[in-house]
Amino acid sequence: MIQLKNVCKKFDNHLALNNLNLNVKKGSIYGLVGVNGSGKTTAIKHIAGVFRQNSGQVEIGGLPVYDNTAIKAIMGYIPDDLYTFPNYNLRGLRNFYANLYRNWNENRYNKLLKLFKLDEKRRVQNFSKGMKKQVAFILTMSTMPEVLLLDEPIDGLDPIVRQQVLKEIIADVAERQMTVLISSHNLKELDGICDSIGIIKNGTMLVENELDSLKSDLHKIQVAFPSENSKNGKNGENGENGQKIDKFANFEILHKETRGQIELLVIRGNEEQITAQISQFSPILYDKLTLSLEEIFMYEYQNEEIHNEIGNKINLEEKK
Amino acid sequence: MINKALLKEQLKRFWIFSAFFVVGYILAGIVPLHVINAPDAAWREMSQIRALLNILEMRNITIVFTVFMPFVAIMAFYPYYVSVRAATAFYSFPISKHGLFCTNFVAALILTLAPLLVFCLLLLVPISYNGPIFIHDDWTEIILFNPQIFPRFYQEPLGVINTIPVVAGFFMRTALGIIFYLSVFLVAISLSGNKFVSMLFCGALPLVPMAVHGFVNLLGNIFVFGFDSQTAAFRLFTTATFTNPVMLGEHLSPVPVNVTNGNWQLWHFLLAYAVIIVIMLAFAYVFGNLRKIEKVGESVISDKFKKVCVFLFSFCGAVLLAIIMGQAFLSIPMLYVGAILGFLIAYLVGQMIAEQSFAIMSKIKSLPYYGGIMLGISAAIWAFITYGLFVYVHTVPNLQDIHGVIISEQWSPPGGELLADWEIIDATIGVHQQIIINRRELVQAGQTFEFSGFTEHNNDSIRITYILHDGSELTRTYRFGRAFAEESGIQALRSTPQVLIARSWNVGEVPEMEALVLHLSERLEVHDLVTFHTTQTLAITNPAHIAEIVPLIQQDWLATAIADRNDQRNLEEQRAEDGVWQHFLDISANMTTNNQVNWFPTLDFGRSPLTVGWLLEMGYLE
Repeated sequence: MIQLKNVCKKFDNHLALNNLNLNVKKGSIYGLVGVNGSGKTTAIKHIAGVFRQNSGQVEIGGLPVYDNTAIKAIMGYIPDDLYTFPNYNLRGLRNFYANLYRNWNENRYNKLLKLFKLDEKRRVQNFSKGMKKQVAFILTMSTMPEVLLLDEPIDGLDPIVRQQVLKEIIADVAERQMTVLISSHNLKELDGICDSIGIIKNGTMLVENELDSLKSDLHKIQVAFPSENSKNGKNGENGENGQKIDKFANFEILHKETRGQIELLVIRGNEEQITAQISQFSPILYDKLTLSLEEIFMYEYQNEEIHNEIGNKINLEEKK
Repeated sequence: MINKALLKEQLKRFWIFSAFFVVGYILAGIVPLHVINAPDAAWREMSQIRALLNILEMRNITIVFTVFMPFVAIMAFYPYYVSVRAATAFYSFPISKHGLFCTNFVAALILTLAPLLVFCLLLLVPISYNGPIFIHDDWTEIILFNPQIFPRFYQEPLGVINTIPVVAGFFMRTALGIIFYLSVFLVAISLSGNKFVSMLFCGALPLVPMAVHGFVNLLGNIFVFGFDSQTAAFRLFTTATFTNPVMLGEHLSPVPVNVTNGNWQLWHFLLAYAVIIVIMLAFAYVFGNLRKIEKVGESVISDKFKKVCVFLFSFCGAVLLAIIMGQAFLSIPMLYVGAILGFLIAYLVGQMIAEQSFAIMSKIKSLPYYGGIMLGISAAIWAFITYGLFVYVHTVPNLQDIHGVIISEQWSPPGGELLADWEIIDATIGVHQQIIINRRELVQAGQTFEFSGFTEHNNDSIRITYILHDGSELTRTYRFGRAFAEESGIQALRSTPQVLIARSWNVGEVPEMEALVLHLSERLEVHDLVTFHTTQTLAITNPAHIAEIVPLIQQDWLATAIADRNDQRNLEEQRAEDGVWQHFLDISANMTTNNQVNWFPTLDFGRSPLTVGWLLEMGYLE
């Protein structure tokens, strides 16, 4: 539904998006995560039709987005920093949105208004930050968008409101096949609702996959090996021929932590193969732990940086 | 093209501004027509007429609304040009960029023209109540901004029919002015990315034509005439008048604006307005489309244009400080010192504004580059002034090169009969040389504006146009005091019959006419208020009678003109007396041929013995 193909965007001398590829399926919730300054908001603004890319394609439903009023009519966008007409109350904004968006749903608006308990006659500029986000949510959802773009929308909301917002989003996705792209730093919450995740770094997509696949691809294990095995050289530092044995050969280790005899590892690979390999060394402790989205994000990032460091070292040595 | 939802919303948001300006128009325009402190009914009536004419001639404070309303409208309707948050919101709406531009412009148009329309409709009320307005052609000071657009052929009794066109003409001219400023400010805001700089641009852009004109004039004056008698400040009664090229052009125009033959000349200026408006709007539209939203928040939307703006700002700073220091020390070297200092200071300030930061030390590297350009331009100006390149020649032509001269005054319609008499030419050269020799006593041309209402009684002027044998033309205009006019021979030159007749409409060569219509008018003057009431109209259609009376009118006119020339000061002193109710009888003549009306200069009844005697003798007057 939403597609970014090799999108590049430069602001003066800074390359904000560098051949970014992003794909969001219809009727799914896509979580876009990344550190500050990685390009999340820039990417979302391209999808919203605010920015125009220097190269590449930004499409919704196969159609280019920029200056496309038909696409924008079915799209809802809640930015991080909201703008509303000065001195307007919610009622006034409601009237504007109702006239502007052909799919405006008055019943939906009244329902959400009741849910969030906001005063329609009070000026929006006098609302708190969280209340302003509620206003944005009420108005945007009442336009019955087919595509919803949320740039850190739930930051600043209290837990009760946050749950209500997420509930409404999920309901719409289920009922109307609404497509949602949401960026947030609250990965715990995204973990509970997203179908797909995209991790963006320095304007490029680092990892993009369905959340279940991501979790099935990475494993966090806790393992401890008996100390006599090291004397026998079976899984210790030295093997029979004095060679070092790598217990986790053929697997990519994203993270390793040693606490005494216990090793905590995050490994990419097939779970059964990992288990089979470890079993050869007769571990005294082998636990598979739950991996959260936050941890996936952190380990993928660190792994990328380590790879980059190694790559830079190799390049330096080759030059020498 | 127009998004109805956005248009409706914008009108709903800002109707209060329109209402505010309607109130402003009423308080500044309508109320003064009725709240008049006058000792008697005649004075009150004249004051009302005067107040009404001030509005129609755009000399009332309401002219400021012509500038202020568009400024407020553009800043209100195009926030997404100068605010990142607004840009994000507006560009995410299902409205195209084209639609945003057009819808907001239409909304601005409606909300700025509506108060004007209401004001014009309200204006008809006092006119209807007080009676029609007769725009008498003798009121030469209003001709410059003749409020009539539609041609008229009869002064009365079609007063009401004259009045509606007058107000309609005022609406049209003012509306064009409003649309002009809307387009200028739209260009200004589309070039900038933040509120402060956009306001700077809005203030600076309309002043460009006047600034260029003033700069060229001032440089010429300084280098030709020196510093004495300089008046560095422009006295502007209505700033709006001089902040757009059309009205400035009208002021400076060689095109006669005496519209006695049907007002068509004014269409030139209205067309110029329309063309400039279209060009400005096209620029604004193109800039609006080309500008990148990521540049919103920066001072100027284009890096290249930013450099141009910094240079222009530095240039203006150089000129300003050059003038100030030159004036203060009355010295050309100090003028150069001021230019250098002004350039440096303005460059630093300009960079700070452009970069929105005080940390501009890295920009010092570009200073030699900008300074080099400045030096080049300065050298060109110096060469232009010193060696009289292209156009500016301040020497007096040689007698043998001159085919003829045309002599007039700064504020009179240019053109006129060419005088080829060598005595006149010789006298003109002599007068011109006196002006050059005594230049320190002169007030420089173009620096005070007589119709501003702040006229200095001692001001006089002359405009000399030489037509050379090679077909070229050289025109110079000078201002000076009355005493100098007499001492230098200027007064004597202008009082010669040939010069007087050459400067007058239809006195020298009277056109063919089918009828001579004389209007006897009662003219009442108090302070600078003048009103006419036509008391009697005489029509002479007998060709023999016309042939008899025309030479008498010419003689009476000439005698009066010479007497007035010699006695100008007394006349002005009489006029200047406060509270004295002056009563004159005038004869103005219309010469009509095939429905074309030609005006003959007005005669003072009391000083036209030949004409009045003939009218009495022939029974036209009792």
